[in-house]
Order: sequence, then structure tokens, then C-alpha cells
Amino acid sequence: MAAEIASPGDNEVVKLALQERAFFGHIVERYQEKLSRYITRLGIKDLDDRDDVLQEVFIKVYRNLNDYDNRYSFSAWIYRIAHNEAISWYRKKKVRPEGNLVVDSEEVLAFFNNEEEGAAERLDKKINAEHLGEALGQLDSKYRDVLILRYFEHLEYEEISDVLKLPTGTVGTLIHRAKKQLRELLQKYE
Amino acid sequence: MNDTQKQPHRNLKDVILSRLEKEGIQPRSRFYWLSHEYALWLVWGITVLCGALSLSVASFASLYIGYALYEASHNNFLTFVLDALPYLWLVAFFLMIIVAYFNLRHTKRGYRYPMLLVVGSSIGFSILGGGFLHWLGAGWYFDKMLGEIVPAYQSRAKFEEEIWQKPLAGRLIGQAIEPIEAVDSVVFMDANGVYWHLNTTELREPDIKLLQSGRRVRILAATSSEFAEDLLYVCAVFPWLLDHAPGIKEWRNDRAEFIENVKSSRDIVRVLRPDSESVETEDAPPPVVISKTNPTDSSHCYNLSVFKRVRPKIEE
Repeated sequence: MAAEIASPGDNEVVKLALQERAFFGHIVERYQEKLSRYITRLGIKDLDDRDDVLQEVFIKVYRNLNDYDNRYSFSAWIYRIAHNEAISWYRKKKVRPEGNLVVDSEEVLAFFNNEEEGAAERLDKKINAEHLGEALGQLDSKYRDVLILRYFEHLEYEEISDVLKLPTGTVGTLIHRAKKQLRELLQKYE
Repeated sequence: MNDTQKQPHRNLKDVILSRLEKEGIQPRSRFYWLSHEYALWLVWGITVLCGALSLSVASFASLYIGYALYEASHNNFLTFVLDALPYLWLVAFFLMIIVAYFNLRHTKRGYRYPMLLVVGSSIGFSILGGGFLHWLGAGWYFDKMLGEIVPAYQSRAKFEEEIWQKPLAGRLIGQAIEPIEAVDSVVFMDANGVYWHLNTTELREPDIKLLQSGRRVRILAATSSEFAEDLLYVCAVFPWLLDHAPGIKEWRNDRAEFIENVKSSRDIVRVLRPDSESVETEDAPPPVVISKTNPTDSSHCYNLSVFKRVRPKIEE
């Protein structure tokens, strides 16, 4: 039955999953990779820990499926659950989140250099990707979170607002400040 | 990329579906989430309502802080305001706003609204509700009710009584029991149930009528160790307004009455004691001993500080 549907939208899959549990598998397939990467970026590097967190995320997603409001982005909603679950994991383990961003620093460099904010926001392409990862790791977590969601997960401001439960204006401000702080941190590598 | 990202949990879907089945996990009902959301809005509404109620009591207490007669009870307006401000209700109002803010923030989309809007709407609704409740007289009623139920709570009526039931300072609250046989005397029972003989020779006609009406009143009276123990010379009489929710109009009348009373009493003092013209400021030395043997050629009210002080608004 599931195979009969050709790339249904998130909202349709959610509706179907509420009627028939098997459809929830589509949601898992669709988001497991993204969420796994996101959780890793939030600093949960150990494979077993990550699997545990990911399982809990999807169990929670299924349990809370009726809480999803289809007027808003499902992607932001599921990222929010993953974000909260990762934070809960840190609390349980009593450790401080550390970013693990080195792997995608090339991606973020490319993104910065093509951003609409203009030349003032651009970063030097020559900056070593490893240095960028280190600098990102040193950012305040509130700044790191918005940068991860914006430049690694490619979420829109409104979606970031939904994930982090912040007003959209605040998201913009945080991104602006995060980039400023990142530039300052990168200056020492120049 | 590391290995885990290259092979991302191929069996995760099966693991999850099997866990859901095995553990009998079901999505929580829509009703559960809606009730959760409605509960937050309900609590927000209740806190705004409580904020409105606090504001209505605070506005009642602020508007009716006895400003009309403050010169009779305090040395200056500042000490009076500091003494009379309804701190409890102002604090309660701000606490309610904080609780309302956190409630609204925790509703499903509450985080999307700017802080100014969240705080502003909570304050705005509280002010609107507070204004409406004030108009209904709820502030007065709630203040009075709390004062009756909670002994530790100082209602506006208790506050007024505390200020006005001070025989040694020449202030009393109570009502005339009956006129005694002498023309210018009234028997008066104060808030503590103590009886006084009031001499009304220096009172204006409207004040005498008010006193004789049997209503609860506040009186300013001259006291001196030279007077007989239970004899007071009444200088001014004001109605007790806190037996109902007093409106602005009554409050203004009260003030106008007070000013008129002070002016008239000063006139009487001038007639009875021409030498009082020279004693106009608070820094002036105390007056000479008053003759009590013949009240017709002397003023007992002359001794009352409110008639001696220079008050710009009361001065002619």
C-alpha cells in the first residue's frame, strides 16, 4: 500500500501514518539521514549514543504525531523534537554539547560566500576548513545552533524559529551576531 | 564523512516500527494536545484576569488613598504617597504579567510573537480588564472583602481608620449617637467604641448637619491636655466614603469640601484669634496657651496644625 504513493508530501504521510502505523516508516526513511547528521552536528558523536537518540526521536515523533500542525513545516517540527532529544541526552549524561562541524566546513564556506547578505558578510575562501570547524566549535551554543540550522541544515528563518522556539526576528539577529563572532574568531587564523 | 554517516541506519525503520508494535505505542490523541494548549491559554486568561483584578484594586486604592485630606494626616504629599501606595497590588500585578508572559510563550506558537507584543498584550488586556472591573466597583469590593476575611490584609478602609482613628492627633472616625441637651454638643462614638462629647461651636453649618445625620464620618478636632478628657472641639467633618465604591466625583467633592472647610475654619480662627495671622508657617513657635474658659472669644481649632500650615493650594 505504501509503495502505491509516489513521493507524497510530509503532511500526507503524516495523515496516512496516523491511520496506518506502517506509513510511519516513510517518515523514518525520509528523515533518518538528516536527523542523524543533525544530531552528530549537535555533538553526539558516538555511534551507539546517536542511534539511541535517533530511535527516541522517532518514537517521540510517532507519539506526538497528533501535535503536528500541518499549517507549518513538518521538517521544522521534527528537527525541534530531535533538538530537544539531543539536549535531553546531554542533560542525562551531564555533559556540555560540543559541535562536530569539521566535516562540512567546506559546505559552510561555500554557503557563506554565496549568501545574499553581501560582500560584508563574506568570509575569506582561503580560510582553512579545519580552522573554520574549530572556530564554529568555539561559538556560543545559541550562535552555533542557528548557524547549524541555517547553513548546514539549510532551514529557513521561520523554520529555525520553530525549531529553537524563538521569534523570527531573534533568529535573524542571532545569525547576524553569530557570523560577526565567527569572523572575529577566524581572524586569529589569518 | 565517517562510517556511520555513510551507512545511516538502514534498519532503523524496521527497528522503530517493531518497537512501536511491541511496546504498543500509539499517538497521543488530538484531544490531549488541544487540551494542553487550551490549558495554557486558560491559565494565561486567568493570570490576565488576576492582573486585571490586582490593577482594579490598585487603581481603587491609588485613586482613593485619602489624597483629598492628606494635609490633615501627613506633613507633605511625598510622605503621604509613600505611606499610601498599594504596593501589594502593584507587585501582584507585575507578578501576574510575568506569569502571563511565560504562559503565552509556552503556547504552541507563543514563541513566534515578539516580546513586546507578548508583554504588551498581557498588560493591555489587564489594563482593559482592570478598568472595567474598576468601573464595576470590583476593586473596592475585593479590597473590602479581603480586609474582612484576612486579618493581616490592610484594606483601604483599615488604612483610613488607622490614619483617622488617632484621638491624640485630633482625628477620629465614628458617628454621632445623639445630640445632647446643650445646643452645641453631640455625643460621638469613635471606631474603637469610645464615647466623646463634641463641641460644635466652631463648625460650619453643613458640617453640623453631616455630623448630626448619624452617618459615619471623619472629624478633625482640637485636643489639648487642658480640655476635659472626653471633650473635643470639632473643627471639620468629612463623610466616610468607603462604605461603597467611591467615584471620582465623590473624591473630588471630598477634596473641595476639605479645602472649603480649611478656608472657613481659618476665617473663624482669624475672627476668634486675630493674633493667629502672625502664625503662618510650620516653623513658627507653638501658640500661647489657649483660654478654655470662654470659647466664644477664642478658637480651639487654632491649635490644629492643618489650619496653621501654609499650603499653596489651600491658601486663598
